[in-house]
Amino acid sequence: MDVSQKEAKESLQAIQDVAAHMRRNVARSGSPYFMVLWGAIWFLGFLSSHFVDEAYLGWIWMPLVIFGSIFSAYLGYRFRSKVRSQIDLRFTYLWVAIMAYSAIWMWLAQPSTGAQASVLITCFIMFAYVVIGLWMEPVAAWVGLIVTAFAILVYLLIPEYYFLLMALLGGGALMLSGFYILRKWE
Amino acid sequence: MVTLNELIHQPVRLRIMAALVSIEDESQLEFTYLRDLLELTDGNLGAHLRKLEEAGYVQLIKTFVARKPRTYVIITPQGKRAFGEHVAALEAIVHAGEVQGKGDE
Repeated sequence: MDVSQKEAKESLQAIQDVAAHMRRNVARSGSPYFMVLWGAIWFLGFLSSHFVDEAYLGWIWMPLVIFGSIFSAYLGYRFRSKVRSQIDLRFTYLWVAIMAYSAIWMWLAQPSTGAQASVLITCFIMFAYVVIGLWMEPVAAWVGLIVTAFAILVYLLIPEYYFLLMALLGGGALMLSGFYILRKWE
Repeated sequence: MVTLNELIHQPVRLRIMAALVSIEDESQLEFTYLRDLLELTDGNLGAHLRKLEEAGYVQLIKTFVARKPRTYVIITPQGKRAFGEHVAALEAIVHAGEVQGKGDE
């Protein structure tokens, strides 16, 4: 079988183009949509938390988390049906592990205020972003590290504005990063 | 020395194999996803997949999702190896051409 150098180059280019397109499609199907969704939930939840009494925080967060979980399950189902990947399973196990460890640490640490509980949960969730970033998209890892550092600093230095700043910069950072990744993968 | 694989070298099959190789091990691509990605018709994609399946390079998995029939495509270890050898052969041709080009200068 005779193949010219030109034809060989074109074939290699075709392979690279399909592989790049494929990776973008697979990657795009996952994390950025979840980042936008949970960024919006954080924004609404933290913003409301700043303005209402701490006793009512559960009533704000519970419906938001339930909505987020249901919508996440829908997104996962919708995208997973096209590409059945081992990484989907790893994502699921990661989030189950994060939720389980958050619950254990909440039980052990017994946070006394809403802000304490929030900063603890934020650290766990952002740890998952760091792991996802190491697997797939470095932007997610940077978001995880920056939001963790930001949450701890605000909690320690200006606790009275913790919820407000987490809404603007925590939720905002998640949403913007999700949009950025979607745009980058277009 | 690695040689070109005539079955894989056909442009459509080359792109099918490239798509399957580029995803994670043991990942499966749905037939319609692959069809849309490569901008092929059902019949065209089906015919090429059958040839690749006969060669043992891909496996077709027929299943039901929400009571609708779905076909998933997965590359076999044999297919992965054959594709790797084909790419190596293509790279060797390009490299040989470049070396020859430098020699001519």
